[in-house]
Amino acid sequence: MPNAPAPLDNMDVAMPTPWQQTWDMAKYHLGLQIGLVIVLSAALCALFAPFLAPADPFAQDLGARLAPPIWEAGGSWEHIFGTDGFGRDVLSRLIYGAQVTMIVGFGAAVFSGLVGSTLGIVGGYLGGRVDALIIFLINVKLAMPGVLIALSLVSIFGGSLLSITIILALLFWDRFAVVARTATQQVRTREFIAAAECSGASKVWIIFREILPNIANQIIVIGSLEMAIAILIEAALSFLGLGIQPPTPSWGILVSEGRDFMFFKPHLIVIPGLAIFILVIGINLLGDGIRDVTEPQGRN
Amino acid sequence: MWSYFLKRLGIAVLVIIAVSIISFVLLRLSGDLARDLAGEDATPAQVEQIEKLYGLDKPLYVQYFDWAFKALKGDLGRSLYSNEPVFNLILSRLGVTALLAVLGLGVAVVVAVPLGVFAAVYRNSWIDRCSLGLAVFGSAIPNFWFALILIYFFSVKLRWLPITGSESWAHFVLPTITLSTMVMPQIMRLTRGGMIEALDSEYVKMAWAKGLGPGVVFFKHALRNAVLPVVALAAVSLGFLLGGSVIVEAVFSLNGIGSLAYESIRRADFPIVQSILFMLSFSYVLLTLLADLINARLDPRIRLH
Repeated sequence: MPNAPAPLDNMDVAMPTPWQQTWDMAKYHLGLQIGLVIVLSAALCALFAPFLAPADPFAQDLGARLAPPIWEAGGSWEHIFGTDGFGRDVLSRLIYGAQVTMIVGFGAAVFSGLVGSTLGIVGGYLGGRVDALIIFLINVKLAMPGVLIALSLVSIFGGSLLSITIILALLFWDRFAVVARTATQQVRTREFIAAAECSGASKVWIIFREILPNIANQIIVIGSLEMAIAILIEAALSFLGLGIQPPTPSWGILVSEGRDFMFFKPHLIVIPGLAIFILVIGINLLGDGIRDVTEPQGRN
Repeated sequence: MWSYFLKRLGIAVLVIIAVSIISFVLLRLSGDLARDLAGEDATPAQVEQIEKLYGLDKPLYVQYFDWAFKALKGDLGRSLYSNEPVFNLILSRLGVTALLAVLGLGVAVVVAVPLGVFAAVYRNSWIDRCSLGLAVFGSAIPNFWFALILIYFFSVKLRWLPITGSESWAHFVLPTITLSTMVMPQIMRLTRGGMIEALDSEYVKMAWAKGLGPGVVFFKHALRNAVLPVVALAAVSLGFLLGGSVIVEAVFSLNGIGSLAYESIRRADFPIVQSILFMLSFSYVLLTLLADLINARLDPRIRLH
């Protein structure tokens, strides 16, 4: 028959799956790749710190205090970034510091994401009084000065890794809630939700199987943003002495300790600060990249 | 307009009450306060005496109402450390922080709004890229570290500006730059986004079609609509800067609310911490209320909805 439609297997070739499209876009997304390299390097430093660090990050050597870094006169390969005021190897402390940074950042983003997205989705889907209550909670949260509350809570509950992660998570769930709520409101008016409701699906089923997959990419992007903010706040708290407690090498503590010597050994504050700065840029690039390549509108 | 205002005011009052309860409860969780105050060698009788003196033996809700009624009359209690009235302590430190926050916001708006407008008008040009780079830079840099780097360059290397203190205007230059970078990225992005949306709209096409000049189209038609969310953000940012100046004040040794809060947290001087938390929340709620009203004034769609 001359007018027969083209066989369907040809269609498959012409229409790549969403995953393939995402992969094709990621291959040409420079920002995403740079972000991924930065974040993966930090994660690898955190995971394999005992193998990567050239020296014990806690071992003091008062005879070798404030040794210069490799690029200054008198620097040696033994201490590439020099030593700090206690003679500890700066590079090793930096590598171990990645553990604190990544655990707090990732942990806070995941915890606050769970709390905030749950509230946002429930409010956005159920509407009415539940929604009004959740908007009120968000307003109350926004009205509280975050850094000061975090400082007070750390002084009450102590500066352990777990307490700081939880405190930061409880302080930064609001953006997840706002975004998840708005996204849910947009999705819930679509036909496939009505279809699921008509076919008798439960509210829990609809939230997890119909709504969540459709707003997940927006939640992941907020997650990257919150991870970056949590890392910055942890560093600031530790810098102020009300965060992770010394001698644990948090990057914020490294800056704070280097401050005593910054006028004649500026690299002691420049290196850990740059580490925070680069990691945060990397996380932001990764988040923006993920948004670009997973947006349904971006697929063509 | 009036029903809109009253509804907003009602929510604002509820938020303030909720915040005051939360900050009250949070700070009373901090272990056995009476024992801390009495010192390590205190006998049980002495601890009991202190509990009576500060009313700590009463149930938590009674303590809250005691505090709230006194606070309404302007009595925020006394510092546990210096025994000075908290109200006077805060008042004596308020000027520095308020000045810093206003300066920081002012610089941020003056830089970010024109940048956002130009970035939107000349989309994908070098100025758009520069402003985007500035936004990425501003939102990724740790502010306490940025402050130290500024001190190193401008105070130590170049010797243009003093390192710490608050005696002259020169002492406020670096803190203002640090604070303004904290809010500049959002203001820039929001202005740019709003301007792009406005420039693509029908009424701007209409304005061009009428033969109006670019100045009138950009500033009278587009910017007026694009600036609406920026006004709200600016108000919110001011509240954020009042609370966020703790880091900047600590680095530059400025005697403002932030450093008072920081010292008081370290000394467990909770009447001060609680009052500052409450005062900051209060000003934040007031500022957002103000922003809502300005928006309603600028945009008839909001107040008539």
